[in-house]
Amino acid sequence: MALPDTVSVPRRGPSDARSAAWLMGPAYLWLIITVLLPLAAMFYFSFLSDVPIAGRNWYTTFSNYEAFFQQEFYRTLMWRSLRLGAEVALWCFVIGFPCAYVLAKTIKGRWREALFLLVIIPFWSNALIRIFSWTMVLRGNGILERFLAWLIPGFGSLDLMFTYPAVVIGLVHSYLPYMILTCYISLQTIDDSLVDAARSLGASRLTVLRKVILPLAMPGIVAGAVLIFVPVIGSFMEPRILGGREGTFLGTVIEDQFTAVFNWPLGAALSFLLLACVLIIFAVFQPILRRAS
Amino acid sequence: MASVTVSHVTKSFGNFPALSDISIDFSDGGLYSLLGPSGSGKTTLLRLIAGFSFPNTGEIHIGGSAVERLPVEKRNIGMMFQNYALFPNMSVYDNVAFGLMVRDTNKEEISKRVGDVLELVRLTGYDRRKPHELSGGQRQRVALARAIIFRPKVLLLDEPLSALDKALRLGMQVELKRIQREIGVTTILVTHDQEEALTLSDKVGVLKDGKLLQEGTPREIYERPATAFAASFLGDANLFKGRVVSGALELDGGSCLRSLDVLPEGGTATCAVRPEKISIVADDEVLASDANVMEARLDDIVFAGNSLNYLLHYGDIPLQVFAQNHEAAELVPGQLVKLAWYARDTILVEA
Repeated sequence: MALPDTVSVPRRGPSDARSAAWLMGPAYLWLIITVLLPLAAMFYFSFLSDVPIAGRNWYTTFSNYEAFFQQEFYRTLMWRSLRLGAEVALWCFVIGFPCAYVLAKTIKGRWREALFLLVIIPFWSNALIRIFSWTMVLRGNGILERFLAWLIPGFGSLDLMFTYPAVVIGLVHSYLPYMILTCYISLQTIDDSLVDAARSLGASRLTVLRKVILPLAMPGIVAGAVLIFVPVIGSFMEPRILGGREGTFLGTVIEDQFTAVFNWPLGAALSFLLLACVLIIFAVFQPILRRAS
Repeated sequence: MASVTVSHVTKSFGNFPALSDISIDFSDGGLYSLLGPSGSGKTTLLRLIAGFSFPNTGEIHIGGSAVERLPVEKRNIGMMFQNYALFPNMSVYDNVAFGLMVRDTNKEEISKRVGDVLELVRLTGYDRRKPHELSGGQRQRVALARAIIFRPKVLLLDEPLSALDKALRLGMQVELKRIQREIGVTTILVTHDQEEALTLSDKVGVLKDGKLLQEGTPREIYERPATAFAASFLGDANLFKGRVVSGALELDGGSCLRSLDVLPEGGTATCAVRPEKISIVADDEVLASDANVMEARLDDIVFAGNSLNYLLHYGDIPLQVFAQNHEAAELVPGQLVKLAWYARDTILVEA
């Protein structure tokens, strides 16, 4: 029973701290070199008037940040990007949660592995190829429209290509695996007997879902939503290729500053404003997020 | 409250027959135990009565109405699970109130009845706790309170005490019986623990390989087991196999055992004798005229505090004899001892 445990008392002391430093050191060094230093450099750039290279005239200024607050345009874009992130996360939940539920609770053994592989495949294919494949599906007289016309003769045209829905479709496809995986993990930890218990107490399937499964799966849902929301609001590839003229978001504008306009300071400032916005959102929702997980 | 009738129920999973032609009556307000080793089909039967799965053939009636095609949520049964299955995200109050909440009971009514039922299981004041802040025994009481608060027609208990340690288990057996008596709900309990079945229930059904071997009061089953399996699964039993010669059981070693049961003349038979019914007697002791007597070799003596457990053998038949500590004789392993018991304690059983 409760014998005094004399063997496995962990030794604490200088040697512990030293070995911890040796083990963690490389990872932190790597993070400093690859993440922290470039970020710091970008943060510095965001206060410059021009790209700091030879032959250019540059000085420090707040004008890049002021531009955001002076021009309605940027705030509209910020709002569009946040809305896109929320919508994509919501659709991923609507599509991904039932899928994760079936994987975690209904299917067993080899079939589960096979279906998991299908979930992971979007991760393995190149993002650009994936997006251009969608252009073939969504474009006028493309695969989707032909299929629908074959199904319902005289269906007509959808005009999906270069629209906001097209961007959402592409992004949902890219980020759906995150939601499925995080939901799957949290659903798997729910004991089946809890569902049995709720049913024995007279709960309908919908009540079981609302009162037992969803609350217990909330950590996974929140983790998935955060993992999707953050990259989506900064995304530029899907909006550009699938959205065309409709695909202007803060992410695409930032990318333009770096690749087309060559205004790195403005791009950097907009990036940090986006980052700040995300941090503010998380701070506001912190109590809810913490309760959920 | 309602009686439960299971008639000619069979259930198979793929090709495996989990239950074959089971018929049992569970009387109104009684406490019935389904006892059997793992794989005997007792949990399958409980889940059929609950409505988690449906029988292949046969009928189940609860309170007179056929329910075998009704899903669990429509049957109005209370069930307590082996691991209690408390909702970890809810407080004790919300757990207990769940059954009333889904029945759209109003708030005051819920609060009053949760208070009453928590008092019944002696957990008043624990409503705000979460399940992980409770001990095993407390969790069990919450699970019980949750299962009975909506006044179910039947209470089903799946191995209710197996997760508790022994001291707590004895206390909970008494509690469980008290609460069951107080609310008078028909209760069906599944267990593999023979002691639990014997102490708790009014009636016991012994299951093996999907069949009901025997049912009766705990005393009947213990004193008059119908099969060798029932005899050795409920308590310990010495089993004697031999030929029937002129109304007595002749063993390979030459001893003849008498029984009050009618032994099948000319064939082989098996008789069971409970270890505590056998006494170790002195050579010169005067015995009743109908006593069975046998000389066996003592192998070992196991000291168990209040009793002594003698392990012996007769030919190749292993024997056990229990004696109270105060009446134990001074014996040494290896010696021959004389055993005696009444013919009425020699029970004919199916092999």
